Amino acid sequence: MHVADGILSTEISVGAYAVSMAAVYALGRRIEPEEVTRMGLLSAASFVVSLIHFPLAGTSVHLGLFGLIGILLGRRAFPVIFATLLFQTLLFQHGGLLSLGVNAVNMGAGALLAWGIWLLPGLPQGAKAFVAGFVGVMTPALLMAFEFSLSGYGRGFYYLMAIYLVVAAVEAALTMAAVAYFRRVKPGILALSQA
Amino acid sequence: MTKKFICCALFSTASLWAHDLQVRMQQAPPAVVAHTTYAGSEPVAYAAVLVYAPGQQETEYQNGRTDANGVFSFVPDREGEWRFVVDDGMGHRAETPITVSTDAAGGVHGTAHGPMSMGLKLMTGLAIIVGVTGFLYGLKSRPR
Repeated sequence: MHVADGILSTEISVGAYAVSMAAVYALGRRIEPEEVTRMGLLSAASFVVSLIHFPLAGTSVHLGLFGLIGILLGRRAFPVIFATLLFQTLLFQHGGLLSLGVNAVNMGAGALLAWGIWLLPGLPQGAKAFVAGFVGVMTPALLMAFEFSLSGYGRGFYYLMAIYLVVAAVEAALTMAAVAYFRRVKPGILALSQA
Repeated sequence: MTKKFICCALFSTASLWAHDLQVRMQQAPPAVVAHTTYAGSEPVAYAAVLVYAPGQQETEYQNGRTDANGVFSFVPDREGEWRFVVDDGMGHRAETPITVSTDAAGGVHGTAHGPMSMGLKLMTGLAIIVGVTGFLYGLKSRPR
């Protein structure tokens, strides 16, 4: 899921950096103390889960919890994903410092879209969680494939999407299970991102 | 009990499937053979490789790709600390220093140095996240 350094064009990398920094500032302003602990907890969860990889179609893929982070944190998901990606880059060399902006935009967009789905009225929470988890993976995959095609890697588009369909299905089921668990033990946490 | 189980399961799974590129060197004089894997198990097949000679930062000594079994070999022409960079193109990369030395019989030896173990990196990352969270919490909780 991470785009490595030196693959995409400079224009895309610089543009994505500008967008991601603006988003971190705009969506990370005026954080309340009680939000900080949730953000830290979900950052740690995403950090650990991203290290669990599955061999698939000759490559290695992993979960990211973008849908769940969007559901539980709302707009705060973006700064959390940016910080988590920074730690992954520095410690595990996932992605790269030059492509950090692109990766943050891709994955942050997935989490924000998942949040938008979670806010939709009139649908069962289980269904919304499933779709949010699915969209949380497919949005970054779609954006990544689009950026690759802009940089001259057009033929990789369908292959990448097919790989991430499997990951998205796993993450959707995991998100639905997590939401069902929270509904049982601490339903209030699911309403926090709607405030 | 449930929380303990989830924590244990998460960490034990992470150690089994850790999403980390690893490089193991094999001696095959005059060549040095690198075996690349995801966490010591799945081979990193067809990944891009750059090998830099000691003191070289810009132009690589050799480039190419790993084979289907994640193996790449090169023949060093001098002693010193070489740099072996493998990138699978899917955002996973490892940069490994390799110390190349020659023995009295002229045999070449390459030894890879892993900078940090996977578990240590994981604990470092979590410690930083907890530290930053605590710092921000303290900052935001200050009376104004």
